[in-house]
Amino acid sequence: MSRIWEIDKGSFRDPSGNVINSGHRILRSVKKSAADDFKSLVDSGLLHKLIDSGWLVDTKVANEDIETEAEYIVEHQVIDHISYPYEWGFFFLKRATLFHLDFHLFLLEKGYTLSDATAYNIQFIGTKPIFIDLLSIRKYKEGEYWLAHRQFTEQFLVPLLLRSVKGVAHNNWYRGNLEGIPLTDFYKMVPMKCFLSLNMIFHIILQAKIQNHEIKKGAINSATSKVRIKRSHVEKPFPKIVLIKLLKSLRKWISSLEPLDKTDRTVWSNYGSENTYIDQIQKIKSVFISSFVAELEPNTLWDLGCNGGFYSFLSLKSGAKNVVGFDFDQKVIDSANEEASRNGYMFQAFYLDAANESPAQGWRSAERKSFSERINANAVIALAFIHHLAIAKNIPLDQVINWIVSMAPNGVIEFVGKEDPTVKKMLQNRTDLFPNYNLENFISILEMSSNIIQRVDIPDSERCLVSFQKKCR
Amino acid sequence: MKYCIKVVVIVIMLMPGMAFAYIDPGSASLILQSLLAALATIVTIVGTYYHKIKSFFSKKKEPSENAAEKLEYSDEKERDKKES
Repeated sequence: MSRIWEIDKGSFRDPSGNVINSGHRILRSVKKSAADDFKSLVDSGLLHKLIDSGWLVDTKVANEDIETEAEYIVEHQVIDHISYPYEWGFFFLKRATLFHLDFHLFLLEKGYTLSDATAYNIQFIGTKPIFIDLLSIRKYKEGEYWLAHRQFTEQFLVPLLLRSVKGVAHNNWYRGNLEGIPLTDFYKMVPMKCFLSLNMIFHIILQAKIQNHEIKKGAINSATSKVRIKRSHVEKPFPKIVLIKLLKSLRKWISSLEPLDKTDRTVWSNYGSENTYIDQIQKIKSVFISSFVAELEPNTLWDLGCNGGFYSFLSLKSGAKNVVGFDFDQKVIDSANEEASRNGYMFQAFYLDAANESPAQGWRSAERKSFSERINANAVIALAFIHHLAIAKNIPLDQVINWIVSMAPNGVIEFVGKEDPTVKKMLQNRTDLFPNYNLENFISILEMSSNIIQRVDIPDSERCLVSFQKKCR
Repeated sequence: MKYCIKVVVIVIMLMPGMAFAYIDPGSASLILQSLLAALATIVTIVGTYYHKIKSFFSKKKEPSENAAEKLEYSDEKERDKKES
């Protein structure tokens, strides 16, 4: 009989249990070493409280017998879209950081703690963060040190500071390094003014300095040629009250961090209001999208090039249950997420360079899933999007269209012709290498893979809206 | 107060070769935390003495609660002595 479950490829570090994928269900084994903590979490009613208060992903004890080593098997609620910190904007990263600190403080109050501080343990439902790693929660031992301090620094704090102090977005560096941004690398670029901040001194400068110093010293004492004997730094207890103060002061500091470039204007931040869009075009597009979404009522709709989220929010109002937006611009994803958060929309926007989407990476290239492995959309919309790939990135038009069509069974693509001011601007300083970039060609390529359901040519413009349904193969 | 802490921290930073043996890179934060713990101990001790000195000077002016506590405490001591 073939096995219908398998251990998630990203779940191998924690010896106390594994995440198990079983069809569409997410299970988790709790092994002997974590069984006592788990039992007391259930018996004390705290597990229930954590779930009810929205800290922890919904978790139920399941009666499955699939791993002999496991003392318990639990079933978790399935998160609609799994995202990684290198896909979050500043707003999401900051929200996840504060959530992590608040959750840790809440657990300490109840006599529990978190065994690590990895940003990958936090996911978003809409714009609300939620903790997904049950086995990171364990009993607090009086006087124990916060062993995850450096992990917290590299996975949460340094990426936020990079944007806040230097105005550089964390995403590409985080993705390259996977486990956050190395403290000692960031330390090299800390400006002098930061040497006057107590928080910077304690969490960044001193920590990096001691770390560098210890690395330089090496493992062997050069004078005696003997291995240096480790002096325990944790002999004296670290009082709980000091840990709580430390976490609270970190919280206060982080909640005051804002992107350095917050007031600067970027390419797309005023796109919606200033571009070639006029009311008439927006009205036609809105009617088209509303009727497309209302007909399908998709569970998950993806909005490629979501900008400030105008059409995403419209889709939610028209019947989509969840919308995931993607954009290249840090500011628009933050402003879209902020607006969604204010209004309680089931929307989330992530950073995406469509010409360089997130790869599968980590241990054996399987620890973190690629962008395409996580596609679960029932519908996709790509409005005024394809010219950014076909013209600006020289990606052949047929490849761009087929990529979008591959994402969902239904969708809408807006074609923007060469005479449109945005495309004209893109081409003004370069040779036009795109003889095939025209509406006729666009339609004929799309018809190869899909049936065109509706087509609306926007009057007095070079724009055309097309809704399609992928052909069954 | 903040200025004093800054000076202390900067002095610590400039100290050549701290007296810790080889550690893995993550232990830098543990060293810092042990410093924090030590600082907390100092603050507690100083706080206790400060409280004692303060209560010594304020005893004459307001003997109310502290005195009552002390009386109770000395009563208990005497009782213990008698019992033993």
